[in-house]
Amino acid sequence: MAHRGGGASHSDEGGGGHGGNDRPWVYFMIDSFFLCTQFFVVTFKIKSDEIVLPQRLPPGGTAMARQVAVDAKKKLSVHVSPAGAGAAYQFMQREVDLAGFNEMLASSTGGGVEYQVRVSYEPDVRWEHVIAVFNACSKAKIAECGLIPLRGRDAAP
Amino acid sequence: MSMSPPEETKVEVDMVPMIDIITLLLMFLVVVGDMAASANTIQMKLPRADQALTDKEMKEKGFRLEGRIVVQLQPVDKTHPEGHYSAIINNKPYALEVQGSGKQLIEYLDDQVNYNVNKGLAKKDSTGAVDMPVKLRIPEDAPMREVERVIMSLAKVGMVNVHYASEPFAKAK
Repeated sequence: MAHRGGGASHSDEGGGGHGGNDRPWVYFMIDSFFLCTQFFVVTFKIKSDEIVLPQRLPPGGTAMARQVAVDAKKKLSVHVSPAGAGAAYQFMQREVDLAGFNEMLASSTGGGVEYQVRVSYEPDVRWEHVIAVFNACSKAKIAECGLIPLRGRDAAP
Repeated sequence: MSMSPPEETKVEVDMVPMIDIITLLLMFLVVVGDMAASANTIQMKLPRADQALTDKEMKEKGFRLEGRIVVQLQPVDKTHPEGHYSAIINNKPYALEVQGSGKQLIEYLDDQVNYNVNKGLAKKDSTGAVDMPVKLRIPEDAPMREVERVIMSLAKVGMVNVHYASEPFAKAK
């Protein structure tokens, strides 16, 4: 903070004297500058806006009635299982990583609109590995991408 | 006896304390305002998706954002071997499954759907799908057994228009 008090006149120090006032204007400027800097330092944040991946779920949860509506589309199934820190994707009788799955999906679906992807998964698979499938579907212009719920003990009540 | 006019005293406003106070006040408001804005948002590490859109892009593409409910998934018991999660909506927790006397997520969502449909704020089609958008904030490390419970609850009440929150990702060229 700039020097505030003091009786000594600084009006002739070349800092923009203020005539009868003890304090030259340059001190006000320094004060303001430091406070502004302090303000920007405190409030500055590197922040990235949250974005969303839109999807449309088949209504009704596990209701079988939905099958009638989706029969016209070609179904592709992918199974996600944990593999170390990442995940393995079983797709078209092959087990591939995410990059491989992205390539296979893009090359096998072309335009994508007439396809539907069904994602099954192990209970311990992390969400990030499943949303990666939704992301790949979006990239391949496949709008219908649904989940096959878990069965047995891990099934949702 | 000479009469001299009284000396004029100069009245000056000292700007420095005013600037100090205004700036400190501004800083306080900005910091508190920022904290208040993020109070409803749980800090979590979201998954990354390069196809995700900003709200502005969503509007341009014709997605409905009005009346969007934000459902956040948060672990409630990290010591549990299977990890129990609950859904947080407007700072209130909702159980993902029948658990004690707390309200379940599906009950809350069903109430919301009924209210909005009855008030004419949302429409339900013949398949049971309701045009109410939902934003799902799910941490990237959440296990699918927990995530599935949230997604199934949404699908069961007909909330099929789901927006999965994610972090920005360097867009592939």
